[in-house]
Amino acid sequence: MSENRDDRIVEFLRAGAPPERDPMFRLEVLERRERRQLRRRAFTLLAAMLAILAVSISPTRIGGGSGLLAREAVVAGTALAGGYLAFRGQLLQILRRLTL
Amino acid sequence: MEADDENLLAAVQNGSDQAFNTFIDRHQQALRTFLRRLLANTSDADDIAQETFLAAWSGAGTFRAHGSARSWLFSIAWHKAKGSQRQWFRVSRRDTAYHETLSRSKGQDAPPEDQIALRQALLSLPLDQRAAVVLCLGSGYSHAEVAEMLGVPLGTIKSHVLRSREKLRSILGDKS
Repeated sequence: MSENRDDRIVEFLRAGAPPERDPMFRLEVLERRERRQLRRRAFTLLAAMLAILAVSISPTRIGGGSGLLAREAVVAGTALAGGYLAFRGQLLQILRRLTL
Repeated sequence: MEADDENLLAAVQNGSDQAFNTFIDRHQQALRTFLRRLLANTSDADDIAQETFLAAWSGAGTFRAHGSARSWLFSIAWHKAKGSQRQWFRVSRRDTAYHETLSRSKGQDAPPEDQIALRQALLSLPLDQRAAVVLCLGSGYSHAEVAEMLGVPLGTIKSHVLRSREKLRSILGDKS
């Protein structure tokens, strides 16, 4: 009798399971991952753009006599850093494929 | 020959989408079944299951080979489920969904009364007791494995399972 009740409890706990292979669920996980990556990239690029903007309009002289050149270098450096941070996952994958 | 979970996670850490797809396919049924029994709401359960796989993808390097990948995954899911239960708006959504489920079940193709009673009894258990009984009796894990997954002492798990099982058996005992 008690074994019958235990069996029924186990049967109840195992009932209603999703299918063993569910491509739709996997797609939803991948889509969620893509959305998260896109959001992260967008924020990183936005931050880089704001930094570039701030440096561009800043009246402060950077470096000695060649202030304009130094400012351009800072802008370029910020753009490269922002691009690297936003796309580093893809860059690393490409590098791995090239070195294999 | 299929890659084992340790090699799969190493490949996931290296950015392999194929390995990640295989990992999801291998564990999604067990994980979603656990979460569906743990939480009252199927969509909440699947939501947390998806978040768990994303956490596994971004944290694949933190997996330690001395345990099983499934235990590690269930441990992540458990912490996410606990966190979700603390959010007040999920409580109201959960209750609404639960009552909707009950009212739907009173119509055509309604589950047997004992199934409804068992579900009510299961959902009335505290979350940690519910998790213990679902993992031990439903998923077939040992008490030691469940203790490691949930991060509680072995004695606590044994006590949870004993009490929960008695409660569920009493429901069936009343109906038979």
